[in-house]
Amino acid sequence: MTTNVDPDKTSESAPIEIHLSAGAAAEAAPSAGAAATAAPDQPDLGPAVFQIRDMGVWYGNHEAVRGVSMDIPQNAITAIIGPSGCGKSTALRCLNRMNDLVPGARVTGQVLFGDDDLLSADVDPVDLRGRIGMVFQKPNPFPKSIKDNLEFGMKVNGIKATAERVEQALRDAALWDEVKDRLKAEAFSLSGGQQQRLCIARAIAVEPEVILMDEPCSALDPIATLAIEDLMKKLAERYTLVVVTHNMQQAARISDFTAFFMLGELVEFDLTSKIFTKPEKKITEDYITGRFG
Amino acid sequence: MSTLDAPGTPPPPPRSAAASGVRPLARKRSRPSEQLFKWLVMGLTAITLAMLVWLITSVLVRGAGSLSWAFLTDKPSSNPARAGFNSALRGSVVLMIITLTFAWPIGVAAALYLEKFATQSAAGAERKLRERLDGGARGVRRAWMRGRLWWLRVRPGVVHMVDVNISNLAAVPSIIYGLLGLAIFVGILGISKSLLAGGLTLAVLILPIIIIAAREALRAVPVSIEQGAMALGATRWQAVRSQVFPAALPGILTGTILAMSRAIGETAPLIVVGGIVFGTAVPSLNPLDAGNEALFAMPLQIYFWTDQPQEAFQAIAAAGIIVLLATLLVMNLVAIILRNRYSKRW
Repeated sequence: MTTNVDPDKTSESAPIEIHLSAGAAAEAAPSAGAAATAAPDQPDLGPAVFQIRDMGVWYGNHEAVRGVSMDIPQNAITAIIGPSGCGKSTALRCLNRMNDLVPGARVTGQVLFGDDDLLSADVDPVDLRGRIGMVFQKPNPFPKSIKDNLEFGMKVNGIKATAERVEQALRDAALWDEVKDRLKAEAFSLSGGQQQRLCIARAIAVEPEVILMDEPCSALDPIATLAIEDLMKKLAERYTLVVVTHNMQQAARISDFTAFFMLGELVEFDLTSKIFTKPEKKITEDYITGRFG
Repeated sequence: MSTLDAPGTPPPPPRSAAASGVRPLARKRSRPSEQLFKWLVMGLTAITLAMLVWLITSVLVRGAGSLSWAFLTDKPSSNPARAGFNSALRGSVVLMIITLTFAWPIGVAAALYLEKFATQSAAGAERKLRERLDGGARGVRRAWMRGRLWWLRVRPGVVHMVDVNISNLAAVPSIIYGLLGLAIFVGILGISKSLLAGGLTLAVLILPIIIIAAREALRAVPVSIEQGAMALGATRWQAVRSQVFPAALPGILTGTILAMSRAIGETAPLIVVGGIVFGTAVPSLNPLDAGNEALFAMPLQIYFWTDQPQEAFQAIAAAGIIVLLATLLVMNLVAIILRNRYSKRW
């Protein structure tokens, strides 16, 4: 982490961002440089479920995420915001090792989950993904019945797929009343919002400890979005949620904590109320007030 | 808008075109080159269709008279009035069973490997192997790990070579496969010039077609389905077996039927493997006996009949062609129905 921003490279893209990010980089540099082992430069936000230390992601020769250090608090909703291509989804996908599936991707640094570094080569990513669920941007139900969608995850995780468990997961995902009479119906026959809630139900059914959500509402209409947001707030009572969103209002509405990413770096992480009222960094303020992005 | 705002006031009078400066719209114009091209492609299509219609009608005219239930159930004979198509039909059925039994599992497995396993990121596996090697693995284990590391390094190149060659194999003339079948199944493996040797040869012939079709069907299943399964804690094999493969199955079956309809009409490789022999045997429908049964097949029988000097054989050859064409039509129809009925819109 000697130079955070290559001035030649950024000057080609967007002039306003260079100026801002150069400022942010200068501020972030001292803390990030020392962050490899020390606690990050972050206010105390309660017990952490993930302790991310100097995490970076490379896609071939392209550095998509660099020097991210943050503690993600337990049983809360943490939102990750930032402009397109800032590495927020990439960072999220490190937390359940989904980047392993991307040819040419390489993740550096540490992510402590409990006492173990989940990025370590001996950690079994299959087992890890059973404990850290994920909901994707576009609803991706399996082309089978609603019931089959729920039972698959339970089966692969060695949980007995009982009717009670199926019902409970659908209730928890606020979908039960809409589908209880047609559990054998094709998942594709549901509306987009229902499909996304089915995907959430599918993730809950395997009893994970954390649920990662990668822009879960970006393919949905406002009413379906509202239903998912209500659901997320309810789920946060029992699960830790990490939600990537390009929608700042959504982050402000639902999250307890907000991380702002920019050009592959974590710029600021704090209480959502603080990020949206008096952020520490000028660039954060510029982003949330819509001056760029 | 103004009428909505104030219902009482009349709409403003239209302004003259001159005031807005918009030029008048052009009138419809004839485009001769466009017309010429349209007639050209229509004419060429008509020629193709005319050839097909001519072929089918001439076959129907010549062969329809010889078509009867007895024709389908009688065995071959040197007397054209008594000669039947039964042995050829049975031979083709057994050939298809053998071809499918060998080509389908091998072809689908190869497609699964090439599409879902060979091209996946090996970064994790590589890192783990290196760490274990550095951690001081000894002896055979060390050699095995080194071997696996070497394989991971050369794998992309090997897969690429296999890729290119499968496409090439699908375009190799079928008579080459006949020679290959003769050399390997009859020459090296010592199988008699039988239905078994013929079926195996046809299996090799359609293997690349099945692999290509199955890969396309697998590729048509969005990667989000596989990722969704893996994000739930499924292994790649579980994700592929339970989600991707079932979703791709209708496409794979459609491709398989089309490959079979290619195999059922093949003549040249069977002539090379079995030769044209006149026999009056009726092969058993049990594929386990295929190693001892003489090589009968619809196209072979038709070829044999057309080669005979008597005029009467030409008529039953035409009848045989009708049966073969009808079989092909049914197979293709099943493939189309399967595709339309089960193809998914993602």
